Amino acid sequence: MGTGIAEGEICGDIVRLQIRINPATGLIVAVRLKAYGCGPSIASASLASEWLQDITLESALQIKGHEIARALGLRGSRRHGALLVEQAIRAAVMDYQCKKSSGVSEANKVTVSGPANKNNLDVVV
Amino acid sequence: MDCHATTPTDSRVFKAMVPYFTERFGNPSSRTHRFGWEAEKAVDRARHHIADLIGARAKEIVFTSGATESDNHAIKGVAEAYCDRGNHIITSVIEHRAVLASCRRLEKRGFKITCLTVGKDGRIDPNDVRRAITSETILISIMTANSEIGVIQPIAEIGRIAKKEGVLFHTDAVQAVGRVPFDVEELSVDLASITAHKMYGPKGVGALYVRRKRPSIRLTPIIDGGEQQNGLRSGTLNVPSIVGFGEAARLCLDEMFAEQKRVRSLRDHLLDGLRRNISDLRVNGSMCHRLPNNLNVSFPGITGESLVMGVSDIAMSTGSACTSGSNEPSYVLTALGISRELARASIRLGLGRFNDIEQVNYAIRIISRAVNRLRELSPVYESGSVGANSLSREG
Repeated sequence: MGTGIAEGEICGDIVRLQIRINPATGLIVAVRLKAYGCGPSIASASLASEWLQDITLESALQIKGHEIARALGLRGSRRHGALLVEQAIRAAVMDYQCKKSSGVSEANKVTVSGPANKNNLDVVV
Repeated sequence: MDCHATTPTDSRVFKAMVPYFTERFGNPSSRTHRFGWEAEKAVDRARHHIADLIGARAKEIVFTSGATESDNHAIKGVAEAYCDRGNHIITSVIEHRAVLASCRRLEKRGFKITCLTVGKDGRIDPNDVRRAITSETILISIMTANSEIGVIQPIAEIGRIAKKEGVLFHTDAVQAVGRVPFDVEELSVDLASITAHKMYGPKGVGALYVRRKRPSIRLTPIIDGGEQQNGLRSGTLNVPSIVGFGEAARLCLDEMFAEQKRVRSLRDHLLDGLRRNISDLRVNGSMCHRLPNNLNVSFPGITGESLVMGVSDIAMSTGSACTSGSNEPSYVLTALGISRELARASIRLGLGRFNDIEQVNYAIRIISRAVNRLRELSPVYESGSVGANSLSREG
């Protein structure tokens, strides 16, 4: 299990993703999602949770915010939700890998807020 | 159900307008032939209907392009005409942007602006108005009813204070006129902005009521040209729209009381239904001093914007304008002391003439389902409290 949270500090949106991985196949077998914020953030998280089903962690890391935004037709400042989701995916994968390498089952979950926040600014400008 | 943004043009209004696009196309300023006379007569009739609706006289109605122009004209026109008497204007933090931006513009030119705050219920304390008046005060501009929360201000009391102190009183009455009784004499209003498209008339036409007696208001024009409308507002009159405005006003005067009652019961039914299906729901602003058609509610744990997106077949809007990407919550709601999170959690519903009970029941069902679904998804609601910071951050 890996948990990743991304928070946009300007907009206050929160995306929390939990992924469950089958250790034998290395595939993501279950995705749990919590999202708070504007419509694009929630839609992005929802779409990403579908994309994450049955793929490897390497493929998960390939999911980029701009792809999610393109798939949903989000433009300009409305893309910030998609970028937040990208951060949450990365955090969840990192969290899983940390736990795996340290052998600790209940490691701290990884929260990414700085970079998502910076991305926000980038899109707005 | 977004009747605070605009209303559909009533088919009876549209029917009245049609001939003035085609066979009766005259310019009311043409004094030399029957086309002009015909148009002038039609404009005159409309002026009377609008004056009747607000208890004014026909010659006190100046047609404009809409309420934004009316607000600009009232504030800048008074400021310029009375600048020899003083340079202080009193307004409130919850005014429409047309008023606030006009005041801000004047501030840059040296005027002093006092922005009164409102109470938790969204109302201005008339005593605050009295206290804010100085020897330099020339104008008070307070809206009659707010476009987001529908809260009705104590206009009659403010009007009395203004009259006693010899200060002019302007009110942006856009949301109120046609929905609730509004009488410029009873309310001691000197200037009032109104618009057609909030009362089932066409867009692009509004009016400014300018008192002509006790006292007669001096107003500097902001649009110069052919001296139409006694030089107060130049420009060829938009005859079809004015005819529509007049017809819309006539219908409002005829039907207001019955409609007010019907819409109020629909609104109350809507609130009851939402309350039954959604556990934690908060009404923003006073419920008793409120337009009969307005509802502004917050659903803790979710954002109004995601809700509005989630129920695409019901037209409603967020109290907060989420357009900039910074998601700034509504300045009206935050002025009531409502937290940013709760302000973001709000939606505004405005019922109108063409809504019926089936639509309201449908809205209750759809909105409740969407709110509960979004709450299930929300990491903020799960933790039992509202606020983005309620999630513990570890690591």
